[in-house]
Amino acid sequence: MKREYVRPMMRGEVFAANEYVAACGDSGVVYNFECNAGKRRNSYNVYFADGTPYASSNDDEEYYSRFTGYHPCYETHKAESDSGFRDGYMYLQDWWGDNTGERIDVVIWTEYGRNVHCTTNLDEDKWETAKS
Amino acid sequence: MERTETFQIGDFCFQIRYPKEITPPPNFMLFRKEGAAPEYEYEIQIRSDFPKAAGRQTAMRPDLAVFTDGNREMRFIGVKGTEGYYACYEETTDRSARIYLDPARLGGLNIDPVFSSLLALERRLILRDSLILHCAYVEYKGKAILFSAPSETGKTTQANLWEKYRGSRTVNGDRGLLTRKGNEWIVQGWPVCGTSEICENKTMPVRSIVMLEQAKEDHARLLAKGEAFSLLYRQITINRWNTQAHMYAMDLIEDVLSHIPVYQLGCTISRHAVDCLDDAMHLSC
Amino acid sequence: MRIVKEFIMRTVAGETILVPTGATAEEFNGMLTLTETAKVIWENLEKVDSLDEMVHVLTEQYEVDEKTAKQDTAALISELLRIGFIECTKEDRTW
Repeated sequence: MKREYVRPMMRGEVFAANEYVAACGDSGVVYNFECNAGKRRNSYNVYFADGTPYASSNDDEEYYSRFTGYHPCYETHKAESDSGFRDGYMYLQDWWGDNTGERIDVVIWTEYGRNVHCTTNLDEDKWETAKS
Repeated sequence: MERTETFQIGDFCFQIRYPKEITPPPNFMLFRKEGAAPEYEYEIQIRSDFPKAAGRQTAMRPDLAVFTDGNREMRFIGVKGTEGYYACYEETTDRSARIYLDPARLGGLNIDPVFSSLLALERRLILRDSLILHCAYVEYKGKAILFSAPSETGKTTQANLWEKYRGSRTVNGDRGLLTRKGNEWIVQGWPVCGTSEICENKTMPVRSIVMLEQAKEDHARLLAKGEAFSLLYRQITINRWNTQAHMYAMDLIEDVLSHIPVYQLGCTISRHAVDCLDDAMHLSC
Repeated sequence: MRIVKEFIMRTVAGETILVPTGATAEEFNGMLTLTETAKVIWENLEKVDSLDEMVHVLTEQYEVDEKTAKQDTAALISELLRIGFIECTKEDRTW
């Protein structure tokens, strides 16, 4: 008796792993992270630097990526330095959710994989810190 | 001149020989065990030039570099955000390790996690069937409820609510040591407690583990093992570069799930969250 | 095909996860959750010699037509190739 078929899918979740007893506990530096990449009215497909889709409506990527898209909220958030910052890039979504236009390099703040915020301010050394 | 002290964390009994200039932090000293027979020896030396890395690089993290030579590990230990390493840990035999400290960076050693980071404790403890769980370790009616979640979710808040409305006590606000004892799982004290500043060396059986998430409305449910596994895995300290230890940790986590109920609590900051969880825990007993 | 990253796969009460380990743990922080069919594909990736063979493995066990299974499998395989988890071993790059 054959089993019920479910589409083969792999869903990835990023989170900060506890790997060893470290000198720095949970909080290191806290940044004021401004979610400002792109225009508020648009949606974007976001990828990590290695090409893994993180927020995407582009064809099958929609099924593997954590979120279906991103648009900037233009708010400033308090972001702990170890809560998941990743280098990456994004593309404007066209009507079908596919990539269009020029690649935009961003830094992605993933909040341990729970959210997607992007900034085009790529120089981490220049980021404002909320507390030390 | 040197001092030698014996400690016990979980079932791991060890001796540290260290120069008089160093003092283990007060929370670490809670784990002193005079007269016990150590099974491992650490020797701490102050030395400005660390030995060269031996073996193959097996891990590179912002604050840790690990080299493995056969089954010996060597670690260069730093702090995120600061350049360089403040210590070098080198296993010398199966039962001993030497730790070299940079004399220019001794200042931080009286901080709990800095001192504890020198000893590769998670590496010793996995061999003794112990898992370090990121949780608020709370004592309630003689057994432990472990509130676990990523940082800043509200573990301490829930622990405080239980103290206020149920008369529980927080044993450690940041970690507990889950240990398998025969057919049972118990929780033991841990010398690091994060910003909670509550740290006791106490052992007791585990009543339940509660995975927290912030929510607009309180809801609690018993998790299926499959769901509980991935949530719990994320809050346990595992040397992922060491596949053998990694696999064994996953075996242990599965074993935890066979013996201890794991709940998910979507919670607000209110008495209602406490009642909600309490009801759920009673219903499934 | 060959799996070129180090992962541990675990199935606990019907849920299958894939976690990076060893050297791969340095590249990825997190885990993957697999549907049952994705697990079957992963387990057989290095054992079969072609897409058609893999499709056959699926159609043998699951209520699915060949066309759908082939489409879905090809999609997953291309994604795994794209993100670098697997590599073709055949010269003609068909598997």
